[in-house]
Amino acid sequence: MKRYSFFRILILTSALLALVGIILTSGVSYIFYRYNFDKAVKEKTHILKIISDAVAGPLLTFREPLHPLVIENVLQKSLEVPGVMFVRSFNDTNKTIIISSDSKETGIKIENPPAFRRDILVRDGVFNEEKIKEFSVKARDGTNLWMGFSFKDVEKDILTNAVVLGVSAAVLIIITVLVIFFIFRRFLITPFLSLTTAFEKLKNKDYETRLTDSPVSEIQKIFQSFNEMVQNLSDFYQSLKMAELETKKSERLTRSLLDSAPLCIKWFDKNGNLISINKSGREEHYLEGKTEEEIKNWKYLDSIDEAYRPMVKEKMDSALMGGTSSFEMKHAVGASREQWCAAEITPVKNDEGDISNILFISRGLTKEKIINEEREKNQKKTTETKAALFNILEDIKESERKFQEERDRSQAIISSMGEGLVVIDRNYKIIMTNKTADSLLEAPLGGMIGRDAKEVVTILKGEQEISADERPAAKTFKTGETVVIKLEDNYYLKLPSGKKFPAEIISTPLRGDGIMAAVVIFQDITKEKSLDEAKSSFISIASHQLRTPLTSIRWYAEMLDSEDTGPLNKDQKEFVGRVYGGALKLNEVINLLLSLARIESGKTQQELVKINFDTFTQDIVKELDPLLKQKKLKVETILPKEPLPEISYDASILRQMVTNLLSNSIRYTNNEGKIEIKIEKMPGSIVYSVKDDGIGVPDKQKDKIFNKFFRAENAMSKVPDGSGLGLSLVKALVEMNKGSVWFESPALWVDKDGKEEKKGTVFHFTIPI
Amino acid sequence: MTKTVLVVEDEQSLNKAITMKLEKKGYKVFSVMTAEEAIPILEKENIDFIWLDILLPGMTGLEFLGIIRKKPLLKDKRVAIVSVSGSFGTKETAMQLGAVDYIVKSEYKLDDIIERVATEINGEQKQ
Repeated sequence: MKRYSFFRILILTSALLALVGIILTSGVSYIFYRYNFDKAVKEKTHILKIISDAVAGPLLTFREPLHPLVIENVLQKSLEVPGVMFVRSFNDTNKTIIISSDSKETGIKIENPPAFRRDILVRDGVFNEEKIKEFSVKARDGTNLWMGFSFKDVEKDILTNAVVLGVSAAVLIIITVLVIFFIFRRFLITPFLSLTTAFEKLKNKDYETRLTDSPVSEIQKIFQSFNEMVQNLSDFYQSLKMAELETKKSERLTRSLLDSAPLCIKWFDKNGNLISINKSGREEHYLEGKTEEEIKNWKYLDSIDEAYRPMVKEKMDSALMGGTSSFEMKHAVGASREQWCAAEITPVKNDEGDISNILFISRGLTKEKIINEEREKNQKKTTETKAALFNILEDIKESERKFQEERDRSQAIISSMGEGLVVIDRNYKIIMTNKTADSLLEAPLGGMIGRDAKEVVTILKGEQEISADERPAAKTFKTGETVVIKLEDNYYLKLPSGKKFPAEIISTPLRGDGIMAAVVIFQDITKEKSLDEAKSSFISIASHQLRTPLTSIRWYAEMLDSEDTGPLNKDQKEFVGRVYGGALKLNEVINLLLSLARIESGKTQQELVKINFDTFTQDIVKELDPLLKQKKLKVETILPKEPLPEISYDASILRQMVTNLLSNSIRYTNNEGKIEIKIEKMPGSIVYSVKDDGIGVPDKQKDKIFNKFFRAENAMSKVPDGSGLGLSLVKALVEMNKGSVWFESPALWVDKDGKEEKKGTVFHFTIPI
Repeated sequence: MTKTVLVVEDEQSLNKAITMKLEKKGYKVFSVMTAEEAIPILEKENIDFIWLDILLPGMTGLEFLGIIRKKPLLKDKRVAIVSVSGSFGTKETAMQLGAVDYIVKSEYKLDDIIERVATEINGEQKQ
């Protein structure tokens, strides 16, 4: 924004006001002039009209014509009227000018009297180039009277008056504006400018500046307030200086207190550079006699025993994130200087609450005795120093004790855990382990701390090593979520020694300022894994070991039956037939049992393909054709008018479901009966229904029909050789695929002609869309 | 000319049954119990068709199939992989290795299996 000085604004405003005043006075003067001019013209015109009337006008109608001498006299007199320019009278009869403003013309004879026109007069040079007003009257004595006056004469005085008026008004206005300008300047702008200057000085910390009096009372008040304010400010500044001196004093005192403390106290800045170290610290680190500059350049981390360096670095970094830590370590390099100490690192916050420094307090453990001696010596010092020291030591002891208690408690819990526990920081360094973890990962107690977790253990999925990003802790850092690895995920931990074991792993984020670490809990699941594998191998062994001899029985019975080895008698033929039939049934039972066992162990693998229900159903019906023909059964399939949505499903599982339901229906439907299949689309699923008009399910046994090996009473009497496994397999398969299965008996059924009936049994199962 | 079939089947009774049936059909049959025994016969005899059980002591049927598929002289042999109970994955592997059939013994009648094998043995003639 463009800014203007107060002074400039005032000058501009004054100039503008003066200009407006001049324009206004000019306008008024002009109006004054116009008015008076018009008035004068009217007056003159009136006088001339009176004269003309006197000479020739209607006033004289009742009298005798005037004597020419009288007229001449009147006209002569009228010439003396101020402003009248000319009067001429022509005598028509003898063509002479009777009277004229030009005395030389009077009595002149005119041969051809001209029309009384102004141009003649102008030609005559009397009123050359002048604006005039004229009258012409035909007098009763026959003379032609012509009179006029010039505007110039009328105008002369009026114009002078108007100019005088305008100029004097303008002068008055300018003077007024100037007076106002000077008043403003003197009483408002000047004090304001001095106030601005004073503020400017104040800004430069000139607390001596004061404002002199002003004749304007309001401004004087402001000036007084300003002076008072400056005085207060000056006082405050003085006290601040005093306080600063005091602070420095107390800082010196604090420093001497800290120096006399038997603890090594160090401050570091955010970058880990040493800011300050107390006297004990200097002794501890053999820094006595060194200059401040040398101490500032001294690298503390370099003085720590190499084995502890990463840990201390990390604890200092963690303090920058707000963490407080206590630990024991070895510092000071070299055999003669090596010493143990207990240390505590605490973040120090500034007034804004941000961590600005790290306070590092350590206590030499090998120097314990010397410290005690020093403490005794210190007791002789001033009471103040003693009290302060005492408090510091007590606080440290108390917090050490509390910390120890807390640590012991957590340690007890963690070390008694049956699972391995490893805490990994964001740099993938191990910061904590428990006993179980150490023993499972074949490390000495606490030996993994500080090491890269990736070097300590390799994680495999099956035979394949997983990438660093795929490791549970890495995933936890990435997503911030708990990662759970279960038995079926097939994870193994492989140690550098070559030892490998299956593991279940849970990695949980440890939150502080963001995710600080991942707590990884793991368990050796060798036993569980072998149990699981035993379960699957049982299934495959059973599958092979049961089926092989059974196939043998079937094939040989078949060979006997087909008389490959010679003719059989009637009884032999019947017996062989029974052996064959028994083997077939046993085969079916084994197939069903193994399918069930596979589903229950969760070992079933699925291969999804797109299912066309129409052709799929027709294929199964075709396969079962021999059985249908045997009982002369008809199968009718009812499909919806709208095409069914395409579903991805394991075709062999769906085949098992439908085949089992259809075989069931065939088994229990009377000869020449009818089986109906209906496939409908319902919200969220496809419902597949198989209906027979068979024997139905007795009410009291309805709740057991899906149980393994269960067979309804009426079913057993009608078809003695069922296994009681078909429906339980269907149920297991349907539920494995998140569907549901149920039945109605007697079935309420709407056939394809829309006819409703209640007969037989219908089984429904759903396929989620 | 008489076609020759090599039956590799470790279950003695099944081996015998299949051999008997095939011989009755008029094929010349060599029957062995292990894959290891099958190799010398394959190298010596002109075998038209191999009945190869999947679960064999020692080298498995699929391993054996993998080996002969790498031998230039044997790689085009017609092989039917036979299992007592079809388990997941094996059928796909067998088909990838170029088996002409995958037969689950426990699911079919012997006569049906023999018919199927006969068609496959003769299938070569048509080519």
